Amino acid sequence: MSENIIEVRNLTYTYSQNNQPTLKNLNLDIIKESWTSILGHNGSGKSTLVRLLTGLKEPDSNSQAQIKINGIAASEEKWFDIRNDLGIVFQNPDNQFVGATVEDDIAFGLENRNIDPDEIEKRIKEVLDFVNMSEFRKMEPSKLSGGQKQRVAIAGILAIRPKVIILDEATSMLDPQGRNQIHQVIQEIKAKYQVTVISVTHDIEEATKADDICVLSDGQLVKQGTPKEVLIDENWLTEMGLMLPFAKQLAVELRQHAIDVPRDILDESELVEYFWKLNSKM
Amino acid sequence: MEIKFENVSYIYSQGTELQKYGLSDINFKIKSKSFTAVVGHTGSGKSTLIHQINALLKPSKGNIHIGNEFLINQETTGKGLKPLRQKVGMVFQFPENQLFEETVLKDIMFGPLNFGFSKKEAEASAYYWLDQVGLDQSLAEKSPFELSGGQMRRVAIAGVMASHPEVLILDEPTAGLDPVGQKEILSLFKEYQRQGHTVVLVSHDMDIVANYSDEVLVLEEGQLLRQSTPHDLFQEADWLASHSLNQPKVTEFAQRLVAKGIKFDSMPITMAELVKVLAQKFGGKLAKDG
Repeated sequence: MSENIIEVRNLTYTYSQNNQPTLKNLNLDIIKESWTSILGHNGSGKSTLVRLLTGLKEPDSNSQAQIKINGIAASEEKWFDIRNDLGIVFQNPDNQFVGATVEDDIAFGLENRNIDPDEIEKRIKEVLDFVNMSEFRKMEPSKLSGGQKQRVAIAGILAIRPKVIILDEATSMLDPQGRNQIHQVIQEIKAKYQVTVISVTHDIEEATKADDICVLSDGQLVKQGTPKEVLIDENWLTEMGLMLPFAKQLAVELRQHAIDVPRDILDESELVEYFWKLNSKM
Repeated sequence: MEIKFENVSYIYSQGTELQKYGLSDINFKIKSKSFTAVVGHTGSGKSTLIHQINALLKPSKGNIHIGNEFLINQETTGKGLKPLRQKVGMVFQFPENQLFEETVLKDIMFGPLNFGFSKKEAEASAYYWLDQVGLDQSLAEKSPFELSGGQMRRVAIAGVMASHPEVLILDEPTAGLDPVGQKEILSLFKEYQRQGHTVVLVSHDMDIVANYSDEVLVLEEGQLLRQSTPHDLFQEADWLASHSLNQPKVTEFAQRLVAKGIKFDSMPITMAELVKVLAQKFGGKLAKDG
């Protein structure tokens, strides 16, 4: 049995100007040290969930909501401790820098935690090497590209050694290269640090790379499982207001031309293999 | 309306030590009623270029002609820009940051009223575009600040469309929207073009460029590297790579097939083109409307 790093029970949240709750009795477990992708169309409740998971908003007071993160049950007094284990990368790379240079920005979080200057120096070097941004150490963050900014943001978070990193639409404003760089970094984080990565996204390609996917719709968790399990049914995905991964889009079209692409093909490499075999039989 | 740039340069902080060319000696012509994409990296001059088209920035050198009616150059003054700006509508990046009115309806009506529509006309136009951008009429009396990010974006776009600009300039209009919403909004712009308007779109998403544009302008460091059809541009994998530009996803995928010995006469740039080739090669039977 895998252990859960986050457990959410009966989570209900209603915005003050709305009659209907945005999250309705949501239950959710996130597996420890997994890369979990949270998918859902605009308005499904993804962003609201992030705000509740980070204590930026409180569940409806009349609900039986429980949030447990890394073994600590969330309560007003505990959020300070819980947040020590959490790091968030936001959508807009321009909204999260405080330092005048890349290294200052990373040092900020560490200095706030009263970490020893030698240790700060060590960690800055380590995390910048890790995200491949060492040569930009003395640069102004505003001079970097979107993908570079998000890598610095991730480095700043890794430096404080969190248990959970939440990427809140962190790749949605990046170009394809920037996006791939971040996906690469996430894979490497998992290999090197004992950390759980939660990426809240509407990029279905990103989700295909995750270990586990949670699909939200109308404020509830409607499906959870591996990419192969969750993304197999293209009609259901469309119903959920989600796009199909590229390989599946193509497969759906090709089936209409009597090319019988297997339904469990999710990524492009598998599809390339499939055509290669088909071609060599001709 | 045709848009013509003649030897246009734009110099930032001219005459100071920080002087820098934002655009250098740009020449091109955009056909009336076309859909033109402008691509290039951050800092390539894309925004500088489109801001000249409705004279938010005036060229330091050269002339810009918008149709037969407007000439923008160094001598252009603030006077007379209002008719230009009615004809040339601009949707900025993250336009939702510019919402300001008490209600959605008032926000959308602001542009048309400002350009001399009667109250009745402005309201009719606002309701029409509210519907076109996919928002329910019941939102009209809400405060725009109560809406979700995606809805706010749609309100802001409706606010530009409601003045019926002949030329529509779009700066990454769908960045951050979910893919389904992105498609809806882009189809709306494509339809606006089909109705006889000129559309200029800045994007770094080559899939959008391949699927929606007729022409592409490629900028790098303030220079216009080339102007061509998306089909011609995306054939040239090596040239694109040498300028760190991507191909559309479809074309990249087709390249991988080429590497495995599957031949293409020309590289597909849209899903429909790719499907057509693969169906011909591997398909059992073609669907009727192929």
